[in-house]
Amino acid sequence: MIRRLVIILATLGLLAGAGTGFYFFSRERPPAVPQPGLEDADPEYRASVEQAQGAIRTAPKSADAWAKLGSVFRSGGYRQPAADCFAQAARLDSANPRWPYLQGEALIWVDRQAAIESLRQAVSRSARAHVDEPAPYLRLAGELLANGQLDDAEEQLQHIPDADSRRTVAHLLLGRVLFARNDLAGSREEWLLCLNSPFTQQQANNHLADLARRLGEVSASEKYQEQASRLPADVSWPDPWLQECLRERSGIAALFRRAEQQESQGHLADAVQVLQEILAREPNYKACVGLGKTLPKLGDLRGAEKMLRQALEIDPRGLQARYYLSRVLLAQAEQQRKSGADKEATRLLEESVEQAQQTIAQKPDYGLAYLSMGIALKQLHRDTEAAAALRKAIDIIPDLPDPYLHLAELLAAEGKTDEAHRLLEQAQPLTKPDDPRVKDALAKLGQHKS
Amino acid sequence: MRTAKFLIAASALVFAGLLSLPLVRLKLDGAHQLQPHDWFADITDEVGLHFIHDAGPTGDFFMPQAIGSGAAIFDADGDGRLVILLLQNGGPDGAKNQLYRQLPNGRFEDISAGSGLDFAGYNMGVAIGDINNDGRPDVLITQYTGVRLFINQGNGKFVDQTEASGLSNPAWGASAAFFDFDRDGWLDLVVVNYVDYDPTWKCNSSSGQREFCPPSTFPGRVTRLFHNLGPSAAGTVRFEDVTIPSGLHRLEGPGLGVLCADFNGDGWPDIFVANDGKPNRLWINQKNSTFKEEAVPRNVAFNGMAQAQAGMGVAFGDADGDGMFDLFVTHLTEETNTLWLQGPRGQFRDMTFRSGLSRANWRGTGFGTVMADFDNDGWNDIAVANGRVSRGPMANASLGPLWGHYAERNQLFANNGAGIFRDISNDNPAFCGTPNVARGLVVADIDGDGGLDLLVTTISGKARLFHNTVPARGHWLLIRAIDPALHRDAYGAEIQVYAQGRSWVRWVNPATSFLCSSDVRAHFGLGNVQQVDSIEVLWPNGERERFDGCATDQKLELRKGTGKRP
Repeated sequence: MIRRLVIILATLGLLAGAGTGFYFFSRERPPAVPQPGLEDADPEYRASVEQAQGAIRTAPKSADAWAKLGSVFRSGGYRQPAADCFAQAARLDSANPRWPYLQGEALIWVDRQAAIESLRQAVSRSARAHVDEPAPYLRLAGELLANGQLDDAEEQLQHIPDADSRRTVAHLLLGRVLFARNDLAGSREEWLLCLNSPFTQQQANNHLADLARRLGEVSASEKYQEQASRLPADVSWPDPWLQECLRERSGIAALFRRAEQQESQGHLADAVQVLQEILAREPNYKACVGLGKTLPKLGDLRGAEKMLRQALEIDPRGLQARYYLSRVLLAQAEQQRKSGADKEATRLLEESVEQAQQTIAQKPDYGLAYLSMGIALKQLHRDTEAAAALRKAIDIIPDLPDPYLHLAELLAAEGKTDEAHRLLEQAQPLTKPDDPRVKDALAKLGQHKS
Repeated sequence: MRTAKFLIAASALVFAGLLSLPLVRLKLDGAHQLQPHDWFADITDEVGLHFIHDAGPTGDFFMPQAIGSGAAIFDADGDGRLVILLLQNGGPDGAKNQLYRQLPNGRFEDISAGSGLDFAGYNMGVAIGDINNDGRPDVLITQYTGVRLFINQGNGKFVDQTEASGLSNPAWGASAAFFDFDRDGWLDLVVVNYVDYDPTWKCNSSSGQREFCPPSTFPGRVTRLFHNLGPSAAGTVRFEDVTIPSGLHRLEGPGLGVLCADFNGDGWPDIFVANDGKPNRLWINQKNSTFKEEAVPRNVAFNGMAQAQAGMGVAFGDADGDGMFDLFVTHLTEETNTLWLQGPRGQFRDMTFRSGLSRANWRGTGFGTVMADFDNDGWNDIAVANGRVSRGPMANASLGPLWGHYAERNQLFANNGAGIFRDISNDNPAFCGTPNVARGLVVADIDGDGGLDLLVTTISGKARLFHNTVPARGHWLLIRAIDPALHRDAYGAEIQVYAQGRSWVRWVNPATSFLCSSDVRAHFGLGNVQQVDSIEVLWPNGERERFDGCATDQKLELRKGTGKRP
């Protein structure tokens, strides 16, 4: 009896040991903290990575700590390490939809199938937790559609509320679903709802142009195509979870990105402020050039000149600083001339020519510098040199109407009206429909001829 | 007792199971490594090709370095053996281009010295075409800020005639192609230009690391068209820049890839330009030496999502067997390479997903690409040469501390019939296994065995030659179409082979892929066809001729005027 008991206990012990061994053998090990190569990264950015990595070492089971590091990586463009961190955050915080969402978003550029899996997880967590943020549904729908899973994509799009500004994006995607099913009427209906949204208007116009062509509606197609070509590129739809993640951006590169965003949105004063913030931290050539380009748009030519000269102190070979300086000097000369200060205007024009010449000496195919020089020479009445510079500009940048216009004006004044006319005809298709300059110049030339 | 025995047996089984776990895992890993036969074998060293690309000094993130250099394979003197021209991009003080001649034993001999093509510089793309109709193909090389034209003198010697020809391209030239846009018998030239680069402008990644600038940093440049005026009284070929009168000056763009082919079926060659991050352009030939841009109405400006992508390399061929060529353009890792199927004639539709090409084993930034029938099963396959343009994880330390971060693996897609592709990259470690910073991809039947071979150029690495080793390949034909009156290959000709109630179509056009020029001969994979019924050629001037059928597995030369009018 005792022997039997011993055998049973020993067997149970063995089984328990085997089970424990199996557990340790097969259990998931905690992931290593990702360490992408950060050599020569911005010191401020590197410090934020190190800080976030330190927080994980202190609290390895903290989902927030992993998510924070994921956000820092994502904001620095390290998508796979970011996805790895968000995956661990998702494991540790098994109810929050935000972590698998950000994991999926980071993976979109890396592995679409894996991204879809993560986004599905985010959607199911959102549904369970009754989270009303539609971003996971929208992003998942976009990826499913790109993967050809039309029904699945359509189902996700039902979750975007009508009142949400991103509903237009849902209409755009739904239109694509219907178009792929050859439901042309249905897709048109959806895309027509997208024409007034900055997130969708250009893409919708392109789609409608294509659709109209398929239906043989040539003029409608051309109309949409024309509209699409006039519109700025669609902006990304607002994604609060991603935006929060990208707030972890730090360092000079992040400030430049912010300045670019402000400028692209027309917030020039804000852009200037950000660029000045960079200069307060360090002497920076690009920030100086950025200010040299932006300040004239705010009417501050003197400020721009100062910034561009500062840029050239930092990098005497800086091409853009020198070219923009030639432009700023040219603009100042025009101002001076208008105010009757001809002598000062001439001085400025001469320096503008000199700066343009130096730019060209360094980069012989700098077409815009030839244009700037041609205009300045024209104003200095050095017509032969001006014509040569403008011809060179046409040769290098034949897609811009300005050198044709200036050269035509110069030639017309010399009585060479036929060549001026030919140049203006070449320039005509290059101008935007709302730019009357060529039309006006042709009319003026006609009067001159008669 | 019985219970105890049972428990002991059970625990023994558990132990055995646990012990076998690692073995099972090993076994599975081993099974994963068992691959079907590789389609290609790396024969670079074996044939004596010793070219290592010079990208110049690292550290400045000089943007032209990231574009790399192309290569050309052509028959320089009409002896049936090929030469390989490999370009260098290390700047004026860097290494010189290399020219290799194929020997009768299949090996290659370096004949660079004294060839005239052995010069250093920021050399980008190459176009091959006989511009003076003397029967010898000439060479055009695009550079960062220029082009250079070399006239073939025979015996592996070339003479620089850039200045005498009047060619001038004050821009960063990328891909280029010779084609006869006005059908006057003289090959004209199109040069795709990239961006108006400022080398003093420094770019950084989001984390602040120095990085190559993205193309959006700079304005794009116009594509230039040069009309071949034919030889002057002194015998020198002259080109006239017709960019403005042709209308090509109207739209700039960051162009990288080019394809000249008849996109609308009117018999006149058009120009497709793949733009990097901007809508592509399709310049339709108006038959009066002017062109009209029609990429949007023909659906090749954007992908199916109405988005402009980063177009790099261009491949074309009949992917679905409907007799019309289809278009394949390579893009960034975060995008998809796009396949536009043609149909109806002149209209294209993004069929990337339906073709299976979006279901790749991995993603990559595609540059050089080729659509060709590697297994001779009668269906065109696709090869893609990959390499990043922005820093990623270290993928190949042997390429050094910089370029190792830009390395990616190439890809190979097999056409399973009717334009459905399957990623077979995992089964092809020779071509796809080693991460490289690949740019150029050239296709040619190097050894005349009927199997198409591949040449890959890489940044800061070896140019690698891959021999086709597909087992039990199908039957084939390798056809050269010549216009005897012009003494040269009939660039732009369409060749159709008929057999067993089916037809196959190819075009005489070496200028595809990225910065490269491939063998001009048209290769047909014909599956189990041993005898073709007839061959029809639509010559570039619009004349059509039918040639008698013949046995497969041979090289043919079809001469204009020797066939029958159908």
